[in-house]
Amino acid sequence: MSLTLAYNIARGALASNAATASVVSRNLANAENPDASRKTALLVTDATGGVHVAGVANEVEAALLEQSLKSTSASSHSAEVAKVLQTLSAVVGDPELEGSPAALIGQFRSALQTAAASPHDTTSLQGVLSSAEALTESLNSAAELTTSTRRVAQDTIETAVGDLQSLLGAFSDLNREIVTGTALGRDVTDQLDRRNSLLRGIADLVDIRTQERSDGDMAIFLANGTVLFETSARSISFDGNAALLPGQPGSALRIDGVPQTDGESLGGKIGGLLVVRDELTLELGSQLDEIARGLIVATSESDQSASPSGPAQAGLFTYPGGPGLPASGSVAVGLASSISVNANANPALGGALERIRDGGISDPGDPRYVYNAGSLPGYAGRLNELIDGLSADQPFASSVSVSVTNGGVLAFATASAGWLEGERSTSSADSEQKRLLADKAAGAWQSEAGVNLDDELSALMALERSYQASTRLISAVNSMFDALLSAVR
Amino acid sequence: MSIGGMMRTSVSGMTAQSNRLSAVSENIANASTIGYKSSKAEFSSLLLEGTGSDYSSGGVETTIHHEISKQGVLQGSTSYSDLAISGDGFFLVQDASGGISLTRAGSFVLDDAGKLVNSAGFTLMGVPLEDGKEAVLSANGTSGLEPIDLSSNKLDSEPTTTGELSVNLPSTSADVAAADMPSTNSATAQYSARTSMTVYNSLGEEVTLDIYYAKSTTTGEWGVSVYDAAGRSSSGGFPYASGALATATLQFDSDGNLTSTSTSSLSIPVPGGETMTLSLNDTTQLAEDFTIMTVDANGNPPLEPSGIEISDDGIVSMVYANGTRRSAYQIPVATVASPDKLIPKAGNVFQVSSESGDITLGTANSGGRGKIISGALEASTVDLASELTDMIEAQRSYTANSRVFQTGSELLDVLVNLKR
Repeated sequence: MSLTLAYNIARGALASNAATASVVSRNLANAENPDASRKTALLVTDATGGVHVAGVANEVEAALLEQSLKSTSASSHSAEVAKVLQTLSAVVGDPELEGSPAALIGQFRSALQTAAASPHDTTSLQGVLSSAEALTESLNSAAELTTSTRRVAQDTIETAVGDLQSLLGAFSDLNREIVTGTALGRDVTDQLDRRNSLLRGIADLVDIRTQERSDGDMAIFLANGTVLFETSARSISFDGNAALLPGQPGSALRIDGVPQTDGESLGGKIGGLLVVRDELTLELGSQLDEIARGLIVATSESDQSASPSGPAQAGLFTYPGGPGLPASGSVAVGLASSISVNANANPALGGALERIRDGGISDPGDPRYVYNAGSLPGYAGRLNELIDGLSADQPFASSVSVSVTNGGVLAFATASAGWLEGERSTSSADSEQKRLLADKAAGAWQSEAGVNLDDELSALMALERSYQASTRLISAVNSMFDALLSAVR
Repeated sequence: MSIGGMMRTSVSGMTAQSNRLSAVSENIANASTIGYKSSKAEFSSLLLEGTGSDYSSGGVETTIHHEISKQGVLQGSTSYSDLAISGDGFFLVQDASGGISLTRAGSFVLDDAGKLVNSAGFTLMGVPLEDGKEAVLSANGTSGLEPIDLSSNKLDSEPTTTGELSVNLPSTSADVAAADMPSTNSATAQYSARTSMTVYNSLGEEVTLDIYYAKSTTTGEWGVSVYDAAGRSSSGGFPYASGALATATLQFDSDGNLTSTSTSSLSIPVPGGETMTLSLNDTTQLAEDFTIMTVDANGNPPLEPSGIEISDDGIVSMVYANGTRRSAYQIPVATVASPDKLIPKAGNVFQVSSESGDITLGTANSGGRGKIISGALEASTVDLASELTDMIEAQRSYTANSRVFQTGSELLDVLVNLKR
């Protein structure tokens, strides 16, 4: 031990104090930055007892990061689904709401009941016609809404895939910087923070798992094991312009050549949009098609001759494939968008209102399908048959999620509205819960890895003291040298 | 006995003290010189033979001793090429004329030719390394040494030769019929799990390998096949343009681990590259989703070295942007039997003398040699306080000697004045 050594050690202490203070000031400057982690200067004792700053490290708990990524993607996945269901439900789902198919079937039925009470009154028949028209319009527009929702989902997926690609590009550059920096012993904590924030951006789009490798290198996988980034970013292909065929899943999203068809396991915003595009809207579309088919079947006309020979034919409600009935037991894709009120019952289109009461809408030229052969103005048989038909049991396709055995199309439409409302309330509750979890995970991350002003300020005060002590040591050594030098005469 | 002898003795005393002062002044001047070893004047008495009353005073002889083996304080620096030895030994350096010397002054910087040159102009010597091989150091000579050349004007790539892939295969997967196994490369091929990894061919191009796992109808057996992703069909999978690069059957025991007889690695001929050994040792088959535990492969694309790293055993490695390290040189540490007997030369270097013993080369941090510390410098061993006290002491001794001389001179005056 010598004075020179004491001098050197004190000088080293000053240098490391200054370096630590710069780290503290970086922390303070980033106190409001949610992506910044708290950095600490690593102090190392030299062989001679001095001290130096060996590097800067940040406190990142890998498990917390993983948790935060998972909850981010779960939250954005459910939010996306809930948002779409909210819109669909507002238009299609509410049985009480004017304009929803279920409510309009109810109105159609009451119009029929009014007409059955006074079958001679053309005003009440007119009421039946206009409520039937409102019903078909509602089904048409609901079908159009599901199609446009699918198209919007498709476009949004394309945008999100573009975002994902650019995030992966940025990730790739940053990852290389981190690997090089770590290998050369540079301070890469700021790059790590930025990489974590990119990871959160990617997790918002798809559910990911990460793996740390040597030199800070990181690989990203999807939750189902498909590689997203490993040394290099993997190819992502998606054709946003591909035609959306009704009733069929849209064009596949391929990541690293693997088709991602299961939106639920893909997770994140893109997964949510895939669920919307290929599951929810398809299911809702099928249910609307089934309601349309149920209506056509419920209002069909049968051969009234003494020895019936003709098949049942589409009556008040018809479709481009009429007058034959659509096949029962399977979904007739696109029926809800093409169902219409038969022109033969509409005076504006050359038909006659009385046919609603008398029958013969399906084929006015064929007397076999006329119920009220004598054109009696008080005949209510056909109208009553129509009322019963709406709630008469009929088979529905087993591929849809709603199954109704009793109550006919009226019950089916109500059950369908109930299904949509159920999905909506489940998904919005789910979304709310996932959002809370994500907030909580973000809070845990912040409190564990983030900057705490109190800690930093107290560290700053300790640094100040230690700096003063080192300065005092230097001045003491200095005055000792002075004493020595004044001894030389 | 003579007055003249006494005066000569005091002159020798003054000469000795001025030698000491010279050493002190040299030490103080070099108090901040990196790698400087302080010198110290040591004295021995010189006696003349005298008989009885005929006494002749002797004198003092000075030897300058250099404390070369004394360790200086290590000071941290921010440059990787600042080197210090903590412990015994010396760097070998070359001067402009090609002569080899020893030094502890490690403040090297890269010059325009990629050589490491210290502040005194000496070039650091090393043994070139074939990557991954031990250096052959000649035990008692400097043959095989050459100036370390870190000029990085060459791109370097390395084809992938080894890799590791550990995954969990879900035991709950559906069986894949033998005719539909991924190894068939038919359009109808099925798989239970699929992943990919990036490797490098001989030109340093990235090659993506698609790896398929399919659960066989035989209990506990999985087929694994590797394809070149460049040959994917337009649908992103089967059939590939060419057959599987490698195919094997993995066998798992009832605990979900690979059996001892199962295949545990694949030899994959990387298209345009070398054959790669992919270890599948830690693959498991448990009731959990397909999860990738480890995926890693060596090799790197064409890269310029982006930095240099020097380990404590003196291995100089080029560090590439992807984190790969390639050893280029080894800096040997030279020791001699008696370091304090080395001859100091200008520029903080030392040369071997007949008394010091011959140079022995060895690897740093082994066999009693010190370790090389990158990013540190060895400070001068001079302690200012002790030099100053030495100086005061030398001053006092000098004054005392001059008084003796003065007394002699006065006595001679008295003698001369006897004759009037």
